[in-house]
Amino acid sequence: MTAAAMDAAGTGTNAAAVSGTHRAPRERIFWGVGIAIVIGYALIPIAWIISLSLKPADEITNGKFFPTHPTGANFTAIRHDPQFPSALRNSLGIALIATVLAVSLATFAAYAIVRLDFPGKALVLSGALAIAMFPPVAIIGPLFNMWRSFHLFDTWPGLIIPYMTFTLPMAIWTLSAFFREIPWDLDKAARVDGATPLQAFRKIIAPLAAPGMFTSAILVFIFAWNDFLFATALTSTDRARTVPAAITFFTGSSQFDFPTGQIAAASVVVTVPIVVMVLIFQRRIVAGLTSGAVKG
Amino acid sequence: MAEIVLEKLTKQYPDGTTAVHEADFTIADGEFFILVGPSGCGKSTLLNMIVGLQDISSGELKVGDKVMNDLDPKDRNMAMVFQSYAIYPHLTVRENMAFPLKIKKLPKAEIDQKVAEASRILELDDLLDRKPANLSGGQRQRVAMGRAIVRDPVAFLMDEPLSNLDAKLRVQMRTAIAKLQQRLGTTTVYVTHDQIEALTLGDRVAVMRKGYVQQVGTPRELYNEPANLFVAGFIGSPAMNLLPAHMEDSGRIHLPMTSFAVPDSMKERLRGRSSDRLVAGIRPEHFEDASLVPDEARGHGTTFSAKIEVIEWMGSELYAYFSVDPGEDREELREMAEDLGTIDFANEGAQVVARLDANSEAAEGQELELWLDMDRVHLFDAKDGTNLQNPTGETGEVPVVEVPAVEAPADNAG
Repeated sequence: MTAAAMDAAGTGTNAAAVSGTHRAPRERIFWGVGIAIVIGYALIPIAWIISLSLKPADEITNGKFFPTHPTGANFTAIRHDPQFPSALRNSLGIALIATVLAVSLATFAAYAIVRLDFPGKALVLSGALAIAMFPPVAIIGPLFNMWRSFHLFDTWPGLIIPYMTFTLPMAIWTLSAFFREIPWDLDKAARVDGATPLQAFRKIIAPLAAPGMFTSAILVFIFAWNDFLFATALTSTDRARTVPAAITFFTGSSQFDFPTGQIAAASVVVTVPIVVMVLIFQRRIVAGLTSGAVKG
Repeated sequence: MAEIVLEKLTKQYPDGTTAVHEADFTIADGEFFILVGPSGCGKSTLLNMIVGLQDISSGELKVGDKVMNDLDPKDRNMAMVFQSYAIYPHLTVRENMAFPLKIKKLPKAEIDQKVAEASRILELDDLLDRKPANLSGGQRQRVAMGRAIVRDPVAFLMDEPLSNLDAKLRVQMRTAIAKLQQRLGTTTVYVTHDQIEALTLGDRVAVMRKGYVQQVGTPRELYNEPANLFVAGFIGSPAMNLLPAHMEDSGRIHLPMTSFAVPDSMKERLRGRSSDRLVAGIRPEHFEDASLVPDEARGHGTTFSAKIEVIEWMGSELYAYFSVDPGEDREELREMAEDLGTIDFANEGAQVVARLDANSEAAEGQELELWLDMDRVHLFDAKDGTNLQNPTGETGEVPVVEVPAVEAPADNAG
């Protein structure tokens, strides 16, 4: 009986081993197909927009995926559009400034929250979370009136401030998670090695938190770049109108002509910087920099 | 020049707990000084106060004649080796070692030369361009040491630098650190929970418990003349046997397993001090198999028989364990045992360990005639734990007592 049991156990392990080697290719196919579906699902709309942007006006509604007579006319049109170039400038400037401000403020806040013990620490964190939960639509009305009396309406700061405010909580939470991962001994070692607190932060802690900073920078930038709500409500002219808002003001060649091709071209133009940014920083987002700091 | 003076150094937290009570001693220039004690005894807090990572609540810290209390850690010119090594993961070994020098804005040639010298001493030459993630534990430890020695600091402070290494490497690094310190001659303060490390490395050792410095002395003084029960139980491996005892007016001392008339030498050392509740401390090596004791030695000893329960034969010596009924006086001892985590109190009685000659024919489960050296019995006041006498008299006359070279259970005391 024991022998039989052992035999069974033996074949059991054998079977497991065999099915293990058999499973590998099948698993690969499963994952390959799955990934292809997800990528296709995510990219087809973008491909569709690119295709639309390359179609001449009479082909827009023909329902074909590939344009029969690809043209750059839509791109030329938006370049000569009265407001698109300035909108692009506004978008870039506002999003970049909001990103820099939000990430640097969040960095200091998160570092303090992680390293210092002060009364109301939990309150700050949960308050930040509460702000993140706040529906932006709810404050648009009051903000509109406030901004008009503060003369912030239709200005860059008028958009930078709400973008920064709404992205700070997310940035603080992301960054404090990163700072928490960095052993405190590293700050202390740097201090003993002769560094001032600021030097210790700049030369040791900040480089180690860089992946976290890039991650939150990208998230903040995308939020500001893509925002439509604040951009339409708080701007009225080319002074501060950003691309998502500007696109809605595109006019066709006639009253009855909807400028689908130009909208598609503008969408392509505003998507490119995001893609480029993610590609550039992708490597840096990959964490793992801290491994080896302390005995692992 | 770099003498470190601690004057009633105290650390008190806002919630009222006191981590260090009036630590008061002087670390001489060039000395290898050890702070040892079980975890939570305040030794690391004391070290952090010396290096400036924690504020001093009261008292004064001086290096030479200079008061350091309010000096920022960066201005104290002390180098620290952390338990976690704390080497900078985004910098190469070379950059790690150069970091303190770069902060000081030394010329590049000088930095290169100092890093090269330190890496030669620590045999890090082949690793200079590696990142810490690609180093083994021992190598990381050496990088941490390297970052400390490039600087020419007034003192090295080491916070359990070896506790993350495996046993073999730890012994190797222990020797390496001792050699390095001798060679550099830099004042070193070393924190450990391992009493073997403390005894083997230290020129002098401060034993701490619950924030109080118990005793400061050379390893030999601590071993032979422990100031109190705690030091007695903490230093030495296997630990000293602590047994309840009482003394009759007639001058007889009763131990759980035997009793003997107080020898004259002991009377002298007691200088009339006495207590109605005593704890006797006997080191394992002060027992012997009675059949192996030469006649001339029998005079200052007493014999008794005990049933040996366990025997550990170590080759050069032999440990025999037996139990005694500790009687009524067990409370303080149990508290001590809990504190130390080293002395095992079974329900049936107190366990005693005797270190016998390897030639002894003691066998498990058999009665054995044991001899006890009465001159070497320590008597402690059970109420406050102080040592009522020093059994070996003047430090200079202490016969050489070897510390058993066993990585013993005391290792996990922290």
